Amino acid sequence: MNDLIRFDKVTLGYRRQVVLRDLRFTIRAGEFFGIVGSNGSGKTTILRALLGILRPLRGAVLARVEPGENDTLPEGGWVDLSATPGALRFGYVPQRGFLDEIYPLTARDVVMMGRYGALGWLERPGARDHYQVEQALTQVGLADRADCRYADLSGGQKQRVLIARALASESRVLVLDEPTDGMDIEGQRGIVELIGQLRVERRVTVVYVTHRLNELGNAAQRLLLLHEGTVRVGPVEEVFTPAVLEEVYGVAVRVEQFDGKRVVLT
Amino acid sequence: MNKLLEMLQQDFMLRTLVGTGMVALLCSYLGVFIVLRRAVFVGAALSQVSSFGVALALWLCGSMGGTAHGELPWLAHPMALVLTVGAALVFAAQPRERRLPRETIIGVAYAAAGALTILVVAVSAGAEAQVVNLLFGNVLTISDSGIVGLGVLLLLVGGTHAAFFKEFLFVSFDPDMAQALGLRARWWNALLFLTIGLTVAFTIRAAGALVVFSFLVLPAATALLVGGGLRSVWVLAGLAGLVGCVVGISVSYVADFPTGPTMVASNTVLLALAALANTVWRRLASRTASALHPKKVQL
Repeated sequence: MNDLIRFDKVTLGYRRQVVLRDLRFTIRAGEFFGIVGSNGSGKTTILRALLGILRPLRGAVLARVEPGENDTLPEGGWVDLSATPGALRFGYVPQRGFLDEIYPLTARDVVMMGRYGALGWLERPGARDHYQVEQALTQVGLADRADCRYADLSGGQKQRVLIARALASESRVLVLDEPTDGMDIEGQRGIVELIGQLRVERRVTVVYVTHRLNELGNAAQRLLLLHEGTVRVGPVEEVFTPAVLEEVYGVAVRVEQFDGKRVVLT
Repeated sequence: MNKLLEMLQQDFMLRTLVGTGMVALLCSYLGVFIVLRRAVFVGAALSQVSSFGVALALWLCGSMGGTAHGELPWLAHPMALVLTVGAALVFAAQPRERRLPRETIIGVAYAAAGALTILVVAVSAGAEAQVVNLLFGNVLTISDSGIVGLGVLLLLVGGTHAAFFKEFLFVSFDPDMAQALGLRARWWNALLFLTIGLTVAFTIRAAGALVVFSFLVLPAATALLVGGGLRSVWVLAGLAGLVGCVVGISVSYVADFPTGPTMVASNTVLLALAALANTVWRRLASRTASALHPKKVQL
């Protein structure tokens, strides 16, 4: 797999307050990349830098664009995401609690927003946009709820709508911020399985942020662990070990296998 | 009925209906964005800033001995416009970029502009009546040039929103996703607030701060209570604003009430009716659902 995104000695923070220093890691095209960290560890800060919303204090977040994918770099190559917003389009799935439910939007309206990035200023959604929206809703299992008000859907359904919106954008990278927060175990499993399945079917890169270590132990291919300034990145087999987890979190843990699945026990 | 027919034969009343109708349409439409963004006091704060601009111009021109008693100086409208648009752009900035949340900044602007207006008026001879007129407005005195100005504003703001409605909606609902897809959320946000600032600055001249603020909030709230889908809410807000305006002007003419407050009262009655309709509808829907899907009781 080729490198798609590169954090090159990136220091992140707000105003003069540094949150994370000298981050160096890559995200490969087509992989399931997990970012796991406790609240306040800086995982949302990394995500904001990735999306080009937060400019690094030092270093650069670079993305490799394909020839013809970006107008500013027609021959393709590495671009600085904070200097060139939209150079690499991201299908972003925010924490659903951040979206205000007062808006009179149906599930279909929300998913259609995923198409807005590809439409010109005066352009209205056309047949292709409507087709992509229907496809995305079908793929997340919500075709029959398309005309329901977004606010009236259950937590899991809202999350699926936001995933469908990211899919409708036809982005090469899906970025999910705590997509299972506030869900029961069944809901969590459904979302993680759906994301894994979509990665294969749509051939997209997945960047999945969570504070639950066990959520990604069997789904992600590589993990970035964050805890109080300590950062470890690597393949799951190398990072999901008692030695590394104890080093990062500072507590004794066991990694057990149940039904062929890794589970961290404290 | 005769009174209403008589009203329609008066030139100044026709000007009032057309001018206030345009104010109602513009403010009610933009009000949906303001209410959805939970920033209703943007309207109140911008009104205060606009009044401060007029008071400042009165004081400056008065100090230079420039203006005749009872007339607004030439500087009044440009000053009000610049300050109102400037304040709108400050309000547009994303809250996370600042230490203080947006509503605090709006509150500070409201309080500071209100206090400064009173202080500046206190030191300007003859300014009080003009600023009071601006705050409470007099829709009956809309001139032909005022109608033309409102028409140009309606075309400008209406055209901008017809062209960029989807961008304004997207950056209002989810600015982060909009940014992730390559839209410059900050710029779209600024353009949206620029249209709001321009509208408040111009409509206040025609209708006064109280009327403008009421049209920014009440029709949008009415539409959100009874509207179903996305487009219907904006259309209903415009309709509610127009109905409130026409009913208010008609009642004020027939009963000889002050026009501005009567329009505000009409908008409030419409909102109350919408709230009632919403409650009845919800109860009926809940009863129908219970009848179709009775709860199973396990013994």
